[in-house]
Amino acid sequence: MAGMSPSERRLQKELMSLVKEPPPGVSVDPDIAERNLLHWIIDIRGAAGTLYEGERFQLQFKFSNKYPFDSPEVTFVGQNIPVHPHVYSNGHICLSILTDDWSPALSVQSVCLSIMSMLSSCKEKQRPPDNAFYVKTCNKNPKKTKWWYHDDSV
Amino acid sequence: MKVFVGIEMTGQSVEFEQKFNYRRPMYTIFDYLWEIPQHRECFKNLAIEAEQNMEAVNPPIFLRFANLLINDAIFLLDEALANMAKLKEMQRAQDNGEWNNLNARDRVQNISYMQHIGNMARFDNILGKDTIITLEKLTSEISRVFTHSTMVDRIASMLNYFLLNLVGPNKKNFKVKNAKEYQFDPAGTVLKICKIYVNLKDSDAFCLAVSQDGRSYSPSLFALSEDVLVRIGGGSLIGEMKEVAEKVAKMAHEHEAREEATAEAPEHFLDPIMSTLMVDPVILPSSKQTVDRTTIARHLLSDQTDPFNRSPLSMEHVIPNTELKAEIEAWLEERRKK
Repeated sequence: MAGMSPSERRLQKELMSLVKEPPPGVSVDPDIAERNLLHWIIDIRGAAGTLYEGERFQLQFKFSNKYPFDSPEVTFVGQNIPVHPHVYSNGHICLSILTDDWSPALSVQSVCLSIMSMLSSCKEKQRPPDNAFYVKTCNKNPKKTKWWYHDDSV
Repeated sequence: MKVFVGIEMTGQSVEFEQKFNYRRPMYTIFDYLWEIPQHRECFKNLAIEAEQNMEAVNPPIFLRFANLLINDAIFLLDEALANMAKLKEMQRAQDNGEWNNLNARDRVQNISYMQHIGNMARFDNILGKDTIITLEKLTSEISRVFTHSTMVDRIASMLNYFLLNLVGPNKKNFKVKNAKEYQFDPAGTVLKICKIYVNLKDSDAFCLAVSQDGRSYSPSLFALSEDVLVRIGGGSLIGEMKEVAEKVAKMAHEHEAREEATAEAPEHFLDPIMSTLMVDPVILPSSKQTVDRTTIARHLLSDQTDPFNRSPLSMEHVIPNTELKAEIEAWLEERRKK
C-alpha cells in the first residue's frame, strides 16, 4: 500500500469491507473505486415493503483528501433519482450527517444505511416543496448549500 | 508590541475570506517587522506559545496564522501554475497562426482573455511568491509549529507538489514567453522551496511526511531538483538538499517496515478512524473508544466533539491508554527481533 495517502488508505479499507460484506441492498463496483479511490458509485435497491421496493438508484460519493475528517460529497446520480421529500430532483440530499453532523467515525457504509432508512421511512413520494427554486439556484456541490434540516421524521 | 502583532494576525484570519488584495500590504509589514529583532522575538514567542497550546480548544493564533499561510501558498501557487499553463497554451496557439483563422470578434476576445489570464497570473505569482518568502523566513527560525503533527502533512505535500511541478517533467508547461512580464520566477520559487525543506529537515516528522506524500513524492524528486539547482545557481543548497533527500529516504524505509507491521497487527492496535497502527493511543472519556492521539487532535481542530457520540470533548480530557501503548510497543519489539 505504499504511496497511499491516509485518506486513500482508509477508503481502501472501507472498500474492501464493503465488497466483502455489503449490507443488504447495497453494492459497489470494486473496479470503479480502484481506478480512483476518491470517487465511488454505489448501487442501492429500495427495500422490500417500502415505497421504493424494486427501484434501483445510484449514489455518487466524492471524497476530499481530508476524508474522513471532512465529510464526503454524496448525491444521487443517473436516470432514477428517488422522489422523496429530502431528495431534490438534481440528486442533492438533505441529510444532516452529510454536512453539519458528519463525524469521522461514520463511513460510506453508515451513510448508505442512513440514506436507505431515510427512503424506507418515507410515507408519500413527493419532491421537497422548494425543489424548483433550489434546483435552479443551488451550487453544484451540495456541501455548499446551507441546509435547513426542518424535519427529522421522514 | 505583542498586541500589535496579535491584531495583525487576527485581522488576517478575519480577512481571509475577503479579497487577497487586503493581504498584500500584510507581507510588506511582515517583512519589515521580521527585520526588527524585537518584533522577531515577538513572533518567536507567539510560536512558542502556540507550540504549548497546539491542542487547545481555541487554536493558538500563530497556528492559525501558519495554517492560513499554507492555505494561501497552496491556493496561489496552484492558481499561478494553472494560469501559466493556460498562457503557454494560448501563446502556442497564437504563434501557430491558429488564431488567424478566427473571425475578428473571436480574435479580439481571445486576446483580451489572454490579457486577463496574464493579469491574474501576474497577481498570483506576486502574492504566491510573497507567501512563500514569508514561509521561508518563518521556518528559518520557527520550525516546530510547522512540523507539528497537525500541520506537517500539509506543508510537506505542498512543498513536494510545487517542487515537482517546477522541476519535474511538467515544468515545460509553464515556460511562457516574457515570463518577466507576469512576474513568473520559477527559479526564485524553487530556491525558496528548497530553503524551506532545509529549514525543516531536522524534524523526523517532516521528513517522514515528505516521503509519505503519495501524490508528488518519489525518490527522483530530489535528484531532479538537484539538476535544477545547479542550473539556477542554488549550488550552495545542494549539499543540504542531499541531506534532506537521504533523511527522507531513511524515514521512508523505516516507515515501510512499520507498514508491514500494520498489516499484521491485531485489530485493536489499529486506530478505528484511520486504520493505522497507533503510536500514542488515548481513551476518549465519554465514548470510551481508543484512538491515536494525532487522529483525535486533528478531528478536534475542526469539531470539538467526540466523533463517536458527539459529546463535547477537548484534548485536555483524553486519557492516555498506557496499557495498550505498552502492549503495542512490546509487540513491535518482538517483531523486530524476528
